[in-house]
Amino acid sequence: MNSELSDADPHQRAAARIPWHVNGTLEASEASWLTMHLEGCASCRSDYEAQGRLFEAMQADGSLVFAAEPSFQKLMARIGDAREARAAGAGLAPIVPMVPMAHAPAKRRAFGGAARWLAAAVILEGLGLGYGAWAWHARDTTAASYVTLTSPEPSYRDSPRVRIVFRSGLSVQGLGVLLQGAGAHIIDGPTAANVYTLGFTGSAVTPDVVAQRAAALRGKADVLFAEPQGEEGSAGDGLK
Amino acid sequence: MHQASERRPGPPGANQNEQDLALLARIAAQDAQAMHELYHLYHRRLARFLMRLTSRYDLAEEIINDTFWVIWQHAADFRSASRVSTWIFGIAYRRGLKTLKRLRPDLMVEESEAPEQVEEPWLQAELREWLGVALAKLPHEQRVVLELAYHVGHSCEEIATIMQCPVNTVKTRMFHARRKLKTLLSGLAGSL
Repeated sequence: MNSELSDADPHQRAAARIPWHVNGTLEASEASWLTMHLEGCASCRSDYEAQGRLFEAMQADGSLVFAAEPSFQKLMARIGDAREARAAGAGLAPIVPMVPMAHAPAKRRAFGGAARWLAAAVILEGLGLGYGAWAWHARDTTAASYVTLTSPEPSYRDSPRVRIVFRSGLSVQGLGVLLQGAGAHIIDGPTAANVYTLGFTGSAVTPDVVAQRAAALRGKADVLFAEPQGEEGSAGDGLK
Repeated sequence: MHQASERRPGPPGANQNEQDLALLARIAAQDAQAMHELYHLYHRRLARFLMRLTSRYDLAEEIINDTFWVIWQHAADFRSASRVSTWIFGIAYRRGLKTLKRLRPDLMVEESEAPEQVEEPWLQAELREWLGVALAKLPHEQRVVLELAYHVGHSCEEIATIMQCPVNTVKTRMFHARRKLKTLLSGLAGSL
């Protein structure tokens, strides 16, 4: 067992097994032994009953209401956009779309539809976005206090990047705030799927820092998708 | 000994796993409808679990979507070495830890010694009400073990898989969690 509960002591042996009997996952032979022990031990029986009450209390879901559907739609938009962005460079297999569901009107939007909707909806007016990009370039705090059109551009060649999709209707002012908050510049885009690429300058901008900034951007209402470039699909989550 | 002879319901069993496996196979073929079904099957359980881990709804939602992002990308890689639910909760747990480390490194404290046991607090009618407060005071590893065992219904071995630690570590964490929770609940009872 472990340093706290020794199998040599029947009470400690029981204590180690009670939680797993309470939740119904203790294997049969162990459960038989525990049942026999509990029948003759008032102290362990009391512990068992206490754990039963704790188990029942923790079974209750509480008053929190979780709205799954809006989150799901956001996820599928993120997936759809990433896929479309990749599809621009390589032929990808088609996605099996969702079929309409009779009792869930909000669920009817097909995945392909969601992606197309995104592509159509995330339209920032070219002129406005162009201005926003220029305006942000112009306020690079690492450069001189003012710049001209002939000032040298900062180099993004080796710096980490983020791919991003903005919400439809985002104003130039809103865009400026977002970029300023992330310390980012638009260095490419939009693609056919309205994906922009953000660059960062400065030696302190490591991939980890950029990952944090991408996560912060994802939390903004005006951002539908933001991922460090090349990160999709490389999650490394201990997959079997 | 009225309760010990009755095995309580465990986690979703073989049938549920079969259903999950079928959905996963469809997700591997990029079937968005299957993704929708699996998402709704797990959303509430994951939200509750991640709320316990992070105490923030917005983070829980973000982690759930990060988890399903991985599922969408890697469903074809699942080799049935564990139940689907164990795999999914494992991804969610690791994503949750990553998020916590990023945002609040101070929360990632090691487990401390459990305080001395005090008198039996479980008979209090307010148990459920105080439970949330007491659970929030546990180190996150202990809280996660309790949540996975008593709310989600995973076995000791499955929790070890989810948390990527030895089975004995799970047992130790459960032991400390029970002792500490008992003390905390007694303290709460005494303060009211």
